[in-house]
Amino acid sequence: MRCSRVRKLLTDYTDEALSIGVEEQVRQHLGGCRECAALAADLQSAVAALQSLPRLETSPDFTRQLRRHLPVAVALSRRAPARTGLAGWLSYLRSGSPRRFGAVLAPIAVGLSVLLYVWGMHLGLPGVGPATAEPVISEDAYLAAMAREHASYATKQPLADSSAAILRVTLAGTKAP
Amino acid sequence: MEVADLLLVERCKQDDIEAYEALVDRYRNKILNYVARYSGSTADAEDLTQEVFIKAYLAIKKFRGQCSFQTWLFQIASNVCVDRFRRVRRDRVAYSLDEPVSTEDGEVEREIPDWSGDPESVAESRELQALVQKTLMTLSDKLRAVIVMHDLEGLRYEEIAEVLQIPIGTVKSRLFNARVELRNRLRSYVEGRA
Repeated sequence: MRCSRVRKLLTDYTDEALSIGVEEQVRQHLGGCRECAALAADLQSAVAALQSLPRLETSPDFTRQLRRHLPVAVALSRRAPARTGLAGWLSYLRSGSPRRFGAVLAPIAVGLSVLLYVWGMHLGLPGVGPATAEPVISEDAYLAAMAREHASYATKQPLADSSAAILRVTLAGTKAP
Repeated sequence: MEVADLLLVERCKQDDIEAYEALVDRYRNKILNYVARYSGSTADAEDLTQEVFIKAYLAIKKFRGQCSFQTWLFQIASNVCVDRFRRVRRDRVAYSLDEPVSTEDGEVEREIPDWSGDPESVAESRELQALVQKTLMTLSDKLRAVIVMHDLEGLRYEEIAEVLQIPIGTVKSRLFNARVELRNRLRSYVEGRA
């Protein structure tokens, strides 16, 4: 048996948890390998050192004290129910102050707001969701629209010079699409 | 699971407090020793043990017998110890093997035993016991939990694996490392003072 194999078995060997055959193989190896034998002795020394620690015992009135503590612990555990499930939360609210209501209602209000916003976007309600994009028009159409608008303005508020007549001609030459 | 444990647990579920006290009597010293050796504080150990049994009582109706009652109790004890360590860790002072040893008679200067021979023969001394306990506290929480459960409380590999929710191979590997670390640290201290 190799050293690496023996070292893997040393914990079981120390605890006498190996089968008789394997234990004998380990023992034979330890007889001829000083390093593994030293390691095995170290493990046994550690166990012996630990087991030198005295066993402690609880105080004589341990159980009496526990009997006194248990009803208190049970009562406390009932006063602070786990807030799981609707019943737990309702119980929490029933016994609470306005601040508790706030702590519970604020997240609900935020959640409802988000829900309504998303719903509004889905329905396409005005003012909900991102602004709709302007229609894309060609440069010529844009210029024509601008000229039309300008001419219309000039017609309503004519200038004293000849430019008014020119603009009227422009207006006449551009028809809305 | 021992039949007696199972029967007692069933009676506990019917709010039979005497059945619970019978279980407490059966396991209180085991739990006390585990929490004392794991936490390194015999002063707090009794309070921690009370806490373990209170938590177990409050949760016993949820115990389905998926493991032994002892394993379940050790799971609770392990959680209680971990919680306590989290709370006190920031205030925890590193253990020094050079500081005086606390014994039942007060603090005494450490007397270094002659440990060049058989450690079992000198392990009787109170000073060495305190040294072993302090050295135990220098191990990581994971190694200490395994070595205390196995070498002091006699839990089997399978039970420790269930308590700590780790594979049996990991239990053995931690046990090996814990023993080697413990022995090396004790030896380096003794040789350093020799």
